[in-house]
Amino acid sequence: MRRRPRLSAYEGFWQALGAAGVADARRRWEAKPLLLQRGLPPLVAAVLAVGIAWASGLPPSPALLVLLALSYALYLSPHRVRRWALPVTALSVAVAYPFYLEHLFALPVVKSFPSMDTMVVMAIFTMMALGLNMVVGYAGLLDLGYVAFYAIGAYVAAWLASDHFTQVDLRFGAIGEDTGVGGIHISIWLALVIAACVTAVAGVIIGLPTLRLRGDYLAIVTLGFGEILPQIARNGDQQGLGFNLTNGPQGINPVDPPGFGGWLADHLGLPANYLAEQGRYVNFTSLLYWTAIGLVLLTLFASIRLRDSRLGRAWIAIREDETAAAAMGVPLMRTKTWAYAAGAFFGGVAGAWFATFNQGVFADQFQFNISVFILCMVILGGMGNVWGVIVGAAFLTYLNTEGLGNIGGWLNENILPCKGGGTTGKAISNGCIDVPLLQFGIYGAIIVAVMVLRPQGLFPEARRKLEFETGVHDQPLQDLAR
Amino acid sequence: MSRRVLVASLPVVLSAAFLAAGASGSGAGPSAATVLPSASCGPVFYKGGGSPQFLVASDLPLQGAGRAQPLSMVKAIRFILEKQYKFTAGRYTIGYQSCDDSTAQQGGWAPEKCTANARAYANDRSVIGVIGTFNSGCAKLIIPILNRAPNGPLAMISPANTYPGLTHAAKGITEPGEPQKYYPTGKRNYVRVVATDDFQGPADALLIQQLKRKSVYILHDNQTYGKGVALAVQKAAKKLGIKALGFEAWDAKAASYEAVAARIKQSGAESVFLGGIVDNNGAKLVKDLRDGLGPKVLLVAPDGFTPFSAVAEAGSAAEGMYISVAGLPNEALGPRGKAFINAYKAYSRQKTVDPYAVYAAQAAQILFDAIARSNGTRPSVTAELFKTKVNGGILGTFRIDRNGDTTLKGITIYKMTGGEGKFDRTLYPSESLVK
Amino acid sequence: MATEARAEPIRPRRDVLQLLVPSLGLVLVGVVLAWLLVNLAKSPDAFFRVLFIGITVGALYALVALGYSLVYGILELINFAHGDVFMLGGMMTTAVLLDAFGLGESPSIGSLAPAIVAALAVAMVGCGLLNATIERVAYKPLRHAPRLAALITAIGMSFIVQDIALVWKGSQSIAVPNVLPKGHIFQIGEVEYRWNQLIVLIITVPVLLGLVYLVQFTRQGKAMRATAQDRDAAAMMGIDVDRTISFTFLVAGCLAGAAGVVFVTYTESVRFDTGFQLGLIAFTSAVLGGIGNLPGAVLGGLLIGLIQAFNEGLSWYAPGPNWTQSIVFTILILILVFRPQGLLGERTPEGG
Repeated sequence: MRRRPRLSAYEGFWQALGAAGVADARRRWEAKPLLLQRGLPPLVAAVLAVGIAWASGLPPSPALLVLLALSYALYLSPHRVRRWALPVTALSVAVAYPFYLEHLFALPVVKSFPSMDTMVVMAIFTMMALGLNMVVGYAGLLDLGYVAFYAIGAYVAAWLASDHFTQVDLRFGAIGEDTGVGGIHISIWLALVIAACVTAVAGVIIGLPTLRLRGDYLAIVTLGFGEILPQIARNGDQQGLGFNLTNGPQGINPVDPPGFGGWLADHLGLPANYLAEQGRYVNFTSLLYWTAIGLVLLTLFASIRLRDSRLGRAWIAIREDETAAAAMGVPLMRTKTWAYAAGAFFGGVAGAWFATFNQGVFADQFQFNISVFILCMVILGGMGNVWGVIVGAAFLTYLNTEGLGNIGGWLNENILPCKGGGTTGKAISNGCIDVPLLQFGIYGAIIVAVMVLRPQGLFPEARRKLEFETGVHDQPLQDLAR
Repeated sequence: MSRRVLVASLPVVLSAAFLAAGASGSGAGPSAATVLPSASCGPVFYKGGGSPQFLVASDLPLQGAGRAQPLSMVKAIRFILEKQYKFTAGRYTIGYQSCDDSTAQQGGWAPEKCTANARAYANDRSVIGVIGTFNSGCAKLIIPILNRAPNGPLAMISPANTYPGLTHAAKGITEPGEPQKYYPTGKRNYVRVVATDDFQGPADALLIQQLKRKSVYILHDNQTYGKGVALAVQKAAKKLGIKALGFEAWDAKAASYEAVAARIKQSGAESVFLGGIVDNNGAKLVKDLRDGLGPKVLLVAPDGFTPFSAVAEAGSAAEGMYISVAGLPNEALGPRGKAFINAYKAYSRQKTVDPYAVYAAQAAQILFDAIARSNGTRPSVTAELFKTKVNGGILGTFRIDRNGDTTLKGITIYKMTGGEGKFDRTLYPSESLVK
Repeated sequence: MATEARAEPIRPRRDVLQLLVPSLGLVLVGVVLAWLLVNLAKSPDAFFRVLFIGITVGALYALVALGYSLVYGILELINFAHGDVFMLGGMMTTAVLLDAFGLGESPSIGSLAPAIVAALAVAMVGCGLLNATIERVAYKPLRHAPRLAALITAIGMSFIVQDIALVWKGSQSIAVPNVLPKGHIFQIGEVEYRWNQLIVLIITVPVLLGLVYLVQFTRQGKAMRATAQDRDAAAMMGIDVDRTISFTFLVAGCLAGAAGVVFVTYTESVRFDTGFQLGLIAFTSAVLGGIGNLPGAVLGGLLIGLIQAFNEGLSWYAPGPNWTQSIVFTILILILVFRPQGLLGERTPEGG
């Protein structure tokens, strides 16, 4: 429908060359072998860029060269190789991250690459975004209360692996020393599984009343649950409930650190207690990071397999046209319930892992804002496409935890005449901006800009991209019925 | 086909150029102090010669609705460092970075930021002390990490945490295992200059008893501080034979508290305790309560309801309200405190001084003095912190006890009269009431 | 097995559900009514006092909810920025009342009336223009994009507007002195109906009537309704759809501005994040009444105001302010379970 003439810069380049007197440059260039056509321009450009930088006294870091070479090789490799080479490279780059982080170069504007802590948070939010993607991206059910699942996962993990319930003294596969006050301490791995299952059940319970609803009525009901559960968390102590369920605003802390315990540590060399590892590269954070990567892979695998399964196709059918799907024999209730359950499951895993990463759970964490945040990741990344969602989650989490602060710092150092100002409460003082004051606005502006420039998301799902380009509406039935 | 090639190569070119340009950042020469990352922390505040030997960081939530108080604390620390200490503590030069433990999305402190910041402080060898946190929940996460920091426990001093469990156990308020669970190495590294909830609460209950009210309706803002004080009041009221007719939260974001006032009126309560901070819509709450309950019902609030000028925004409704302050409120500080207030007013160009700014200034002084006495290592600063004795300081005369608490525990009661807090009495709750 | 699963949604279960659901609903309504009656009997004073409070606060919610409903009706967009525009209207009001007019506690009618009129004018015009600008910048480029893309830009705009207020007025709530007269109009026993409560209605009701007139009886209103019904058909009938949408945003912004004035003068405080929470409640009211349905939005707003007030103000087995949010949303969920199309909504495929 909207076909704007694209690539005019390309045309312009040749026209300019033609005007400069090189008559049939374009014909000759396009007759060259394809590999050369593909390979030469970026190589020349990269060599030029690095060369100019070097000449002006900025030797490129080795990490930069390695990254450039890697991406160049990937770029040149044929599609059938790249299909598996790209994920494998990406994964190995990610796994090796703690080892070369210190040797990385500084990025422009956002300055630093994400620290290890941020990487863990990014991985955790990626898990949540992938979970929400099943509900929103696959099944097309707008969920504004995903934070409820995150909360349930976190609290279940905290109940099962901390000294919160001092009434009982249960230890099962737990690591770390006994503080002597009791509490349920079961192995964090088991707690993870239980948290996920409990959350999935909660997903079904939340899904049940919403089954008769469609569209934004459903969204508001999920929003309702997203408001109710955090309030229960906040009030869930002796005074509010008559039973100390969540310890109210004080939160539950510390949550046990993860670890494999003695036997596995002795026989397989796995870390016995993450917290006890103090190495330069192998330490608490990097171990949490690697485990989180593993969990993300698991979520990713489940996401892709579910999408291609019978259930996943039913979800997509419902998303595209609920009435038609029902007419074709897709059981609406069951299919939607499964979407909630699956989405909740991974939200629970992520919440539980977040609890053990933070070593605590606090009622203040679970606000409507977080639901919105995760929804932004899914839609901004490209609804329905797992790769897009991963990019969206990583990007927004990085912005939220580090990027915005760094952007502000960069503005202060490089653009503004900043001298000794900073956090003063005024937007601008002594030539410095107050970064925390403006962060929220910058964040909003980035979200709006990305969405306006790429309304279909950064990496849209193929099917959606098609819809977008040919202009199929999201819900064609609605217009007819009004 | 080949068009797409050129277009595709564009991002590669761009990123290559960017990356190469960015490489310049890492080329900067090493300085004496390793600067904390700008992801959380502002620029180093240092105007002395060369670059500072050590860094002091403050860890406060600088975003969201509650940012006014942390912000005033940052200013107070800057003031103390620049004007009083001239960026030196004894033999050492000190730079200051203000770090943020909140995120844009959360609009307040975020646990993942607290832990990430804590690890950054612990791993940055030039950080010699941390001032913070504002939220007790955040302190619970940071203390153990700093306690395990390489090169001995890293000193931390809080101007704002009132949750007792961080330093000592209090029956019925703290949890089992506190405070030991925050100090995995067994050595203490955390002190604070504010009195804890378990002292202020009983004092407020005592006040209600002395003013001959037989029942109290307890409201709180459902945050760690507010609920903590409210619980302490509830516990002490029970001991004193005052009937607690209700224990409920007020919603800081609610449009109106008239209905809450109607409910309290029906309960027939003779006094209302407002456990929370005035920033959580406190002025509006006071207005609606006074309006709905009439002038006879006693309103009592803890030091979260300071400065008095913020309470006075409730207008005539605030008249006759009692506010308890642990230590001394700004209006009653000694000569050093008064001098600080006046100098700070000029420095920050503010008309009113937030009491947290005063606590932050005192905390900064104590930390800088401890650094001055130390031999420049983390354990020695921590040890010196516990030997602190302040004589006629900003907050008065006190010392830090072996738990890390201030000995300044007298609770002063103020009565709002004519838009100002007037001294009413000083209360020392007995041991049996506190325990 | 497979065929059974396929046949499932069509017949047999519906009958049971169709019987069970309404009867359960009736039982629940009965329980709530009984609870109210007991409270009324126990303490009629408190009951009526709380009732008046609920109506006043509910009218406030309704005013904000209308803006959501208007926009939703025409674009099917949950305009998350609406609550924040409303908040900015409140900020403008404080600027007019305090900075321009310098009102103190309990001013005379002579100085109050022009200040309120000026505040209304500034807030309505300012918010209207702001809302139209937001539409132009953030929503118009997304006319043909997936609906959720616009939802995300709305969220982004909401952050930006909040930050504007934060930079402008700081993070603390701005206290406004008692400007509205607080004496009672009539008093029976302990129950009183107050002037400030009446003034909320005095401003709210004409605004609502004006809106009804605009939507029902003017050409522009007809265009709005047509666009809401079917954008493509409206365009074919010669309606300038883009202009109509912009106009709708302008009107919604004006409503938000008026709501800002009423809110600030009645509640006497406003903060940069006031709009987010109140917007959430207002949006909930809009859905409760039937999304896109204007009388429904008003009904929903009043209902939520009453639920809140009853929960917080009554004393016999009322859960109290700790649980307000949970109660409101539980009732919302229950109502939607029994009436999936909202209270006044029509049964469309959207509403199940």
